[in-house]
Amino acid sequence: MKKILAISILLFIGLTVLAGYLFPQELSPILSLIIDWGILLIGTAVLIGIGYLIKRHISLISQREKQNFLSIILLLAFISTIILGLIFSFNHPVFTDLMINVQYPVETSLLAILAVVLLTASFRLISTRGWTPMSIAFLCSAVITLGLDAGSIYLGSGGAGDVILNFLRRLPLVGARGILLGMGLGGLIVGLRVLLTIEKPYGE
Amino acid sequence: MTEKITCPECGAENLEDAEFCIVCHAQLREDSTLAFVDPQQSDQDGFDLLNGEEDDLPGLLHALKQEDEAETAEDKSQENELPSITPEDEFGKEDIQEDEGIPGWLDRVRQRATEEEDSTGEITQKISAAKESLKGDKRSTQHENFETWIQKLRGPIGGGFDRDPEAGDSSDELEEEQEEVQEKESEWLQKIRKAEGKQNVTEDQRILDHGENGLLNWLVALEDGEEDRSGEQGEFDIKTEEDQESDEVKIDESAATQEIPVDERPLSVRIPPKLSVTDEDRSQADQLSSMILDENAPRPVRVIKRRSKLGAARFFFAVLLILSMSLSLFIGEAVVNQSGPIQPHTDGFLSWIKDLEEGAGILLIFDYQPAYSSEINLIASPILIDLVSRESDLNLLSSSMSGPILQRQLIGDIPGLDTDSITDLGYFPIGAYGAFGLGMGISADWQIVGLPESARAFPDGGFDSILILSDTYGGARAWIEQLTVLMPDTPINLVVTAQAMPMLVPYFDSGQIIGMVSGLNDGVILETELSTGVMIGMRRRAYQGGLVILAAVMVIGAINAGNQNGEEGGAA
Amino acid sequence: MNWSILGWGMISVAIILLVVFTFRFKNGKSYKVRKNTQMEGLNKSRIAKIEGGLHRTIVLGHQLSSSAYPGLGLNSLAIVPGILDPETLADGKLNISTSQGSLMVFVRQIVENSYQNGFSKALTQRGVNTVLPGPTVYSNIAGLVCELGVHPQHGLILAGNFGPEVSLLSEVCVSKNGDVFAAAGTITSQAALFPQVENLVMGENNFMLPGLLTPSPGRDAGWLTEDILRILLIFMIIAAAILKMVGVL
Repeated sequence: MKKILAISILLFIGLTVLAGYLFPQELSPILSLIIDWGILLIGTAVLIGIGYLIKRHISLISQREKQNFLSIILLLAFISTIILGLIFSFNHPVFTDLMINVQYPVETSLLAILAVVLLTASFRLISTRGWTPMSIAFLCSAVITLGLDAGSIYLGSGGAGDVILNFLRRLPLVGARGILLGMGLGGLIVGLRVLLTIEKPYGE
Repeated sequence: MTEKITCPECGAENLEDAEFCIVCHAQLREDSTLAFVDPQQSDQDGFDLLNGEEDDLPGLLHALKQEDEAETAEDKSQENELPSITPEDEFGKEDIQEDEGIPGWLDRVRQRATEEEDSTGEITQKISAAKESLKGDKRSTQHENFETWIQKLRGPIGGGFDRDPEAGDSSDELEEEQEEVQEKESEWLQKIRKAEGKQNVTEDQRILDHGENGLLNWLVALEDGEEDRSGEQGEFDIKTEEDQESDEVKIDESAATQEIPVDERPLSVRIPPKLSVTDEDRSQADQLSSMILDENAPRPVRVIKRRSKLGAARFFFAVLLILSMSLSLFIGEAVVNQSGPIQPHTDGFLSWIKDLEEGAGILLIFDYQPAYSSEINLIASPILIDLVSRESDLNLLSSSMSGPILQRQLIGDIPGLDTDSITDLGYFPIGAYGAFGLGMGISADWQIVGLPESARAFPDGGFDSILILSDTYGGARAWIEQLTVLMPDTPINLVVTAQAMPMLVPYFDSGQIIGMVSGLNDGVILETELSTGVMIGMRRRAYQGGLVILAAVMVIGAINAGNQNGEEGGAA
Repeated sequence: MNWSILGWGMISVAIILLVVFTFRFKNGKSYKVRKNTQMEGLNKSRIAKIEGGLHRTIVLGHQLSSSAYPGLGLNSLAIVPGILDPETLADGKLNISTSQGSLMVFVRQIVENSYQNGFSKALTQRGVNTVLPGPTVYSNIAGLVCELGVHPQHGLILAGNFGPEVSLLSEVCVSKNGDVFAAAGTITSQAALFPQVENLVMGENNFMLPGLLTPSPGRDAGWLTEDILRILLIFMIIAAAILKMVGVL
């Protein structure tokens, strides 16, 4: 019974949204309702995710796992952020400054580490992958693109040089579009399989 | 005392000259050719051999006996003179000699049999009937019948059989019977012989006789309580004549049958079932045995060399990158003029912003993560300063969780911006939903009755232009594809990071967006064209230095990998 | 005729082919797909990690659905049952992680159902942990980096919708002598992972993985339908290019 109900809801929602593209005027109230429900569910899912996070770190602390002091720091930061957010509203400058001066630099630092990691990985490209056509093509394409973006390669404006440079700039996009076409096809098939209940990736 | 060999598989003791183990039939010599008979197959054969009437050996004996009776009809009257044996007699206490070796369960069974009339099972009844017939007055006839039965079992092979001299003058009859038996050999017996490989060997017949006689003896001994079941694995008890004599079976001397001669040849002569071992089985067995032997072997500690190399490389590259980019920030003059041609999408953006009317309504969509806020803010600041200078009506909408705070961070840096003139339209999770709702500003002729209205509705539209600030191709694409279909008349412009730009160029080529600026390259162009005073040039120089280092490191890494391969090849 | 009609036509053809081939393959026939060397690497790595009692982590991406890469999130969920199969005999140490709450709910449901379908509704799977280290992309990455760094020789599977920041995870795993298998469907993540990861599945090969792990008639039908549509698309692109060159379009 549970399965039938889930599948029925899935079919109704999916087909309604699909039909909404064909008949927007006739179905706009239902579509608005469905979008509202979807937003509510997504917000609830975020809360569920946060609940999982808290539960996980509490279990790490209680089981005295390795480096559980990091979990203690996380829980303390979480609790203090909640308290500050409740005391000062979301729009309060104290709360806003806390976010801007703590969260943003942390995320930016992660990106900085990413830059170093990518640099190290680029050095190991051939030793990891070997001299294959794919790795050689990747190497050449990356070096040329980096040179173009850095402005190190400049053949003057107008004329054949400009045409060649534009061609080289656009060439990687061709491969990327090919990949995207394939991803689109694959996504279409996966979506149809779920809609037609041939596949139930969410479990039985 | 004869020397004995211990079986390597089960540890049972075997005679010195035995080739196969008496218990488990494992090979005692080094000859590896074994023919294996699938026990399931042999079981099936066994099931196929027996029909409903002959589903057990005592039944078989009885059936054979009845066949003999049919053939010798003139002797039926003599059979009637045989005394009837009641279960009580069979299990009569006088017939049973007490033996300390009788299992307790057997004792209880006998006791129960003496007390209950119908306690004996079918098998026992048949055995008793067979025994009864064996103990009959017509010893010679029984003996002849039994011999006939034995001959039947032997079949066409006609193996040796030591006849009791007391068998008398029936040798000619026996020969005739043997011939008949050979002709009428039971199908089931043929199958048994075939399965056990006893088809064409004369010696096999002796073994067969030996085994079959042993089976009969076992059955008889079972009833008299002197069976020894130890060490059996579907084998028959092999009893020598001496063992038989020591059995406590009392045989009536006046009975028609005589003591059954037993083949004293050792079991080693018997051909065991053949076991076939394929190469794959052998290799797997070897692998398993080597694994077991190797399990407890000491192993050297695995030295993790890659970790130290990777860590050192990472440290080196980090220092190189930070130093080079920091130095380029602080050394040299700020570069204001950009180098290289202006891209068409950047040109389109510049045209749009220059042609924008004063007081236009602009929808700003914040769809980027805080990690990219530095880059986006650097590029978007000159644009916002220009928009503020034109007194544009700014409407803010966010599709990322940190959107409201990002808005404050960006707008807080804009000088002269009146925050009261800004309209905050809120946060809509998942850009596609927000875009879909934004574009679906169509009112239907009907409404759902009883539903509460949303506290925050989607914007009604009516914007002069839309500016999307995004860090990924996916986020920008979601907005573009929804809005170009649902609001085709509203111009759309993008402010994106450098990583998202290449995949969004086709949207400019197809006319779905008016213009796009991305990365520090376009930021420098904006700085130059709009003259807002934001210093992007120095940062762009550091960015260029980083790109050059990255390209150089890739090339050096490829050359280094080639040299290493060459050294390894040379060393080899 | 406009482009949307062409799109609907493709969808209709896909539906018909999918249904027909599903019924055909349910009656015994199957579709043999091309060999995937990355899958062989994944199988070897999984066997080594399970037999060695080492930790394994599967990261399912940051988004269940996205406009740019539709189906990637659902596809990553479809991989999970195939990876959970040997876990009933393994000694735990499998973490399934994601940064989105809705993905986490689905994964939890899959883990519980696959275990209870095999045993009893009264039992709970203890060997597989579903973990959400952070509710946003970068907080998730930061939490996973710690988790991967603690346990050496980790087995890492990346499947789903990622950005370039995923290369931080693979770097940590590789530096600890772990094995990485990546089926990260986005272009930026594939570009970032290409220099680091040997077993990298690129492009639409991502959508082959569920069928390679857990074959079924529906998935076989999906493969064949996708191959037919790809060929159709190629011919359409070539025809459009020729018509454009000629001047018709």
